[in-house]
Amino acid sequence: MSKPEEEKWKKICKSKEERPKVQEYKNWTELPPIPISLPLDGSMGRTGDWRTFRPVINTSECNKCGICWMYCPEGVIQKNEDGDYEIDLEYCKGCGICATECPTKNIEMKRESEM
Amino acid sequence: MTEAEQRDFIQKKESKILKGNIAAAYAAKSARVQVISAYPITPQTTVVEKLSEFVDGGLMPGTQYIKVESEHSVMASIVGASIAGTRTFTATSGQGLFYMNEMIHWAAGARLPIVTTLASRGPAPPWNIWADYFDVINARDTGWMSAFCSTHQEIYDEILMSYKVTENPDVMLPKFVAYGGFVLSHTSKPVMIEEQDLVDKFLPPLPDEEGWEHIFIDPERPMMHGNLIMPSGFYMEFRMKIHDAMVRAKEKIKKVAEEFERMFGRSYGNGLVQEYKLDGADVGIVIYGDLALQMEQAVDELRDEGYKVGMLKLRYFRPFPEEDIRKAAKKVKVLGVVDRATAFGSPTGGPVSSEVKSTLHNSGIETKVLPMISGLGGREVTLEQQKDQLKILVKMNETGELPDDLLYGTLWHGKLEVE
Amino acid sequence: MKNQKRKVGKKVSENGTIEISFAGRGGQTAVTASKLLAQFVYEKGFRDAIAIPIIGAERRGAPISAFTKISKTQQIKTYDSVVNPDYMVVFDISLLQIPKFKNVIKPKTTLLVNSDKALDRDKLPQIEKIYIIDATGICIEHKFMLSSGPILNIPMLSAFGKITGFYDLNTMEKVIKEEFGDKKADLNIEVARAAFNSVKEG
Repeated sequence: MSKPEEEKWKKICKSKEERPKVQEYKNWTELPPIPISLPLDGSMGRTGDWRTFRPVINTSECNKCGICWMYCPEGVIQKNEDGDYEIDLEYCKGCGICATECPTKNIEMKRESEM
Repeated sequence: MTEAEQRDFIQKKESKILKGNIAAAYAAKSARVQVISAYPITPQTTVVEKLSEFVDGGLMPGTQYIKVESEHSVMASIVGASIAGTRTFTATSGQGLFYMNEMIHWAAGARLPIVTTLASRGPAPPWNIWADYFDVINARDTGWMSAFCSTHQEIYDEILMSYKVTENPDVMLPKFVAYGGFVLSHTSKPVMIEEQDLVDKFLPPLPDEEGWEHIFIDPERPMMHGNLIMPSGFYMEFRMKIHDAMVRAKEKIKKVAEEFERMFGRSYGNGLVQEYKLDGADVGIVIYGDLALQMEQAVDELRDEGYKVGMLKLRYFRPFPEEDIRKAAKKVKVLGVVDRATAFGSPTGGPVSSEVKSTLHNSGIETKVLPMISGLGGREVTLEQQKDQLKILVKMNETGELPDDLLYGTLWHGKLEVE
Repeated sequence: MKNQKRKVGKKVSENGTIEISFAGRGGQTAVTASKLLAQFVYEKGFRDAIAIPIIGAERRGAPISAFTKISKTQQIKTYDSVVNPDYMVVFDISLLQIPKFKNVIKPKTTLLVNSDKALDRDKLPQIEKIYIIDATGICIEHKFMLSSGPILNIPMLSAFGKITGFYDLNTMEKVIKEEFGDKKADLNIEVARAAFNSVKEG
């Protein structure tokens, strides 16, 4: 982005760091004209805390089809440099959709208390 | 037209005999709208037909014309185009506007400066395609501004002024420009088409690639609009902002009307209302749309006969010019309000008379208000009938009594009588 | 029969507005005629003109009304229909038998009728001036036809220009070229000229 564009971007949306929190608007006159959401890691907070069961991928048996990556509603499954899938436990809320969808049944939901 | 001619074509100032619909199409062309999406409906059809000819004939270079399968899709595509940062235009009528209704709210909620003309027609059933402003009134609470036109020239002028008002960063609300179906859309009168350079100078520049300030589509700057707000979120406050922008738009509308007059020499009162012979009048009449022009003639003729009558042409319904209404009401003892639209079950007559009455409530102004309804579904309103309306008000002022023949406090004027 | 009560008020033409009523049948191009007339007189320097077609669920052959109001000096502010015409242009002689047309003919109305023979005055209201023009004959002769029938508006308006002097063939030519393009204009002008020269008192 060119310089003026960056400025404008900051003016409207602010950068990730300086993006105002909802609480920063003191009253309605300070609000922007319309409600917008900006992409931000964990905009709902650290959702990893919601988890009661944790998905664990059996990497040695995994055929790397990517179905779990596709189905994860929170987008916390990523492919690492070795080509293996990894789960970002900071934000994984433990919904279990990946385990349900895994065609080779190589994702196991384990109790958090046992981990 | 050859390619070279198309390239060199620049609108010169010229006066032509045009149908109201064609005047609207010329206005969209003069405003250099970038995206038109349209679905034909009587009596609006020739607006979008003419625009398709302009686009196809190369007279609107850079304009995208989107053909869709319904009015709902018209507004959906226009909302998308406007979010992407373009000047947009469409036109519809009656049932088409009703079908569009859901997307209309999306346009206002996203604060998009979309201009839509309405060749207003009566709602069905029974099917009716003739002049009746019920369609624009029906969109009263959507967050759209709405203006009425009373002449062919005003259609052209009002559309140009609309872009200047709607694209003001403090306003950013969509707007309807309404004129009576057939009575204005299909009659022909001289219309001055302004020189392109002058129109370009008058209007704000077209939005650049960055789009509007508050909403845009840019992969480099991703944003999401239209998601859920919980009751504890700012939903209510964003509604307040729309109301605030609408009310404050009145000042901008006045300023734009002033600038328009300076640049093109045609006056539309203060932009919101236009007084006509109201000074020194005992009775006045508030009236809008095509009926307002003919009422001027009725006022002229009654003034010649010695009656002290005047009128106030209402140009805007939203935002509603309550200060001007109070000012006008103070000048007269009896004020009639003529609606070419209905507000079923309303305790105060038609839609505009309701607004006038509530504006005067608790204001200390003692002026009597008589709601009138006239010309529904394109019923012809003759000059004689309009003179009769004024005379009823004069009589009301003289006797201090309401006329007979009211239906729940409202005079439905021009009813059929079997001979 | 149901009828909206309609008072005939002060004649608008007293304020300098001239009112013309067109009577035609669906497809006879009367509606276009009302607009072309406004264009002709505006081109000739009239200050204001309005063409008012009465549009309904019209079909080919159905009786059609259209009006034009023109003024040399002042703005026309009315949109209502003409009930007291200064001129009435009748595209088909059979229309004169229909009450809604017959009844608006006033003693002062000048009538222009498309007919190939003289009118039977006894069957008409008492009026001073009647002109006839065989517009259909001219169209057939010049092959000035649509698939549905003759294009009557040009010969009728040409005859109208001749009897009123509001505009001439040059004005018509200019407007027609602008409206329909140079290519189509020639035949239009030819028909207009023929009609201009053949309108006569009837």
